[in-house]
Amino acid sequence: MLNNPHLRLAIQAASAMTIAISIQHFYHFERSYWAVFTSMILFSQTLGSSIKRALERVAMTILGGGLATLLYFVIPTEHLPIVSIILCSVFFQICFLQRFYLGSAFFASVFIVFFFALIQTWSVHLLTVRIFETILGALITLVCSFLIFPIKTENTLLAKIPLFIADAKALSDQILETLFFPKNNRKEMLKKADACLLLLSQLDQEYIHLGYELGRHHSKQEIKSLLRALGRFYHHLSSVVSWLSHLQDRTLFLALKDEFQALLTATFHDLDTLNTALTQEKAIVFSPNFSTRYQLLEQKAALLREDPKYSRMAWLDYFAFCSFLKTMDDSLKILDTSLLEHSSSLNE
Amino acid sequence: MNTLSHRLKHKITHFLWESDPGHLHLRQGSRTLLAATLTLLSCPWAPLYTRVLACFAAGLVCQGINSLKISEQKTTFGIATFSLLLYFSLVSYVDPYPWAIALVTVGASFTVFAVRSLGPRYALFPLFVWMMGFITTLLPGATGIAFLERLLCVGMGCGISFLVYFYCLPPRPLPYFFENIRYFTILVHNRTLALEKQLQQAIPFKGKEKYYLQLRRSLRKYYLHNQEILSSFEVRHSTQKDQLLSLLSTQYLAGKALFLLQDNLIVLSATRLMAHEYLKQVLRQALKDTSALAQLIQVDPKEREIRLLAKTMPYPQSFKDLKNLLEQSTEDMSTLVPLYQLSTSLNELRDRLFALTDAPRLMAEETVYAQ
Repeated sequence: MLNNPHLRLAIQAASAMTIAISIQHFYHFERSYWAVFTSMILFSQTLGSSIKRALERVAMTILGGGLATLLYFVIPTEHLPIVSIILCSVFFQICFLQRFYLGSAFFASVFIVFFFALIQTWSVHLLTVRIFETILGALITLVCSFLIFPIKTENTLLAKIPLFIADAKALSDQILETLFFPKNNRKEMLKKADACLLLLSQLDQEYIHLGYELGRHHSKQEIKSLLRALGRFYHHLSSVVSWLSHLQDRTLFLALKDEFQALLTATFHDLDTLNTALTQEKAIVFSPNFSTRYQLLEQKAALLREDPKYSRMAWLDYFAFCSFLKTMDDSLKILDTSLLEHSSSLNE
Repeated sequence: MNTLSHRLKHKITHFLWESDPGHLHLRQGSRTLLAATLTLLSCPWAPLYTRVLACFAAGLVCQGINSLKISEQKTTFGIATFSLLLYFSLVSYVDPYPWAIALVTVGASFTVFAVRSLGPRYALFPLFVWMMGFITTLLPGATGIAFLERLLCVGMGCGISFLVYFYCLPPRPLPYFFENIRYFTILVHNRTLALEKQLQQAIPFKGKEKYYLQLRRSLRKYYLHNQEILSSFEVRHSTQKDQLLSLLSTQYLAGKALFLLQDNLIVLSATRLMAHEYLKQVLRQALKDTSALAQLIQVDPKEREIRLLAKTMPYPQSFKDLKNLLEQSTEDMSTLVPLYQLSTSLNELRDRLFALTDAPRLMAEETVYAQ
């Protein structure tokens, strides 16, 4: 049950509320409801993203609150300008809510200043209290996120990588089929490419949050290398998807079908090996099947070179595809190296 | 100074407008503002705190709903309204008892995150319902008639918000989809021109690593935006959705082709083939021709006239010259591979841009919402 991240987050939030409300009750800080409110809204999916949010919130409370306070002392204290600023800050706060949290937090602070200015009054003392309470709320959130069933970004990220590799393997199987049977599965192939792209984007997003969680820890660099290697591999794989849509003359590929199938099967089988290595948290050295099978392919291709049946364009396609395969194999080797580095640090 | 202010203006415009294709977030901001303002004006007879609560209710209830299917959005809005009124009533009921308020707040905070297990529908709006309840605890309580008056105003606020959300400024995913395509073609136009400029340099593509990452991120962003839209709205006829899915695949392949074009150009520029001035001229012209096509489409990708104009554009001479170069070159086949891949990318990009102009003349916006 506690593997459910939503339940973990719920327990963290309830604990944070309990702590914040207890502080409110026992210490009677001024305006301690701000700490309660802040500690609730800063919870996010992972520890790294909560840290990022907390830092942004505190920074924008200081900046937004400070600028709004200055503005408050400058503009006339009539209802019209204050209401106008409130409406503008609500508008921009919502505009930026889902795409730019810094902006949203900034305008939220502006809103608070002028809302209080409208219903009672605002002062520098209140600004100081607000900043203090926001920092307190942020600290409560971070303590609960860190100590109570933490949802570490690193674990979330590493759990997604095998899913990506499994999707990449499914895509590569589709590529193999489409190469020799063009009418089949082109839509399936594109769907699989979509799934990989989506996961890769999620991994990139998680990596940003990882920075806040790990700081300068060496495992961050290893994960960065791993993600880069995955990105490069996907890039080469999806390049083949694009290229396949323009492939006209398949005669040469059909003539070399057995050699290509053996080569591609060996290459893509390495993906299964890689996934096993990831899930068992150890590196496995790949056998040099690619080089051997590539040589066999080249030997057979050399025999067909003088055959007038195969056009110049067919040969250009052949060389282009071989170039793709070599770059894919290289990127798999880089992926393996990154995995080896990461596994070594896990074993330390 | 002029360049600096021009750049700043461009960055601000890009941030406010171009990074929000279809103005999805601007519309949400406008909806919230309109709902809150109308609510404030609709109950002038109520006391100040009641009106404040009603405004907050109107603003908060419509948040966290826009990521679901249109037909489900109405249901979710209903669930959010019901939850908000229920929580508001509960908080108002226990208002005289501080320990009860504390328990309710803690319980609600647990529920906000626990209900996410029930599905994506419950991902966001519970937090805003919690906020409403929390704001209620901060204001002086109300009992009896005063409480009923508050409940009525808060209910009115939710109702006004519903009308504004679905009827005054309804979600319009279809224009958003096409707007996204339009911005994508602007990206293609700008990038192909930038590549052409690079070829004018003595040493092209020197130290431009960061731009590749930027291009990859931009392409992904546009594609994922459209993917999210397609998975989140319904169309009246399944053929419409198929056509839109086809457009989405086309956008993906066009983006891929653009990226490969850049990649292949960089690889080619490092080979001895680029020493041939004639090849450089042909490539530059091919890039300009591709850019011109993208510029034509960016006017409005769904307009039939654009499609007709694009189709009447003659096949560029530069593309024919490139093909001739490949067929007649005496260079070794493996040396020609980067040029061949570049030619394939150019043709692929051109074909995909044409396919983007095949956007069917879809019906007016209101017909794409499922009843």
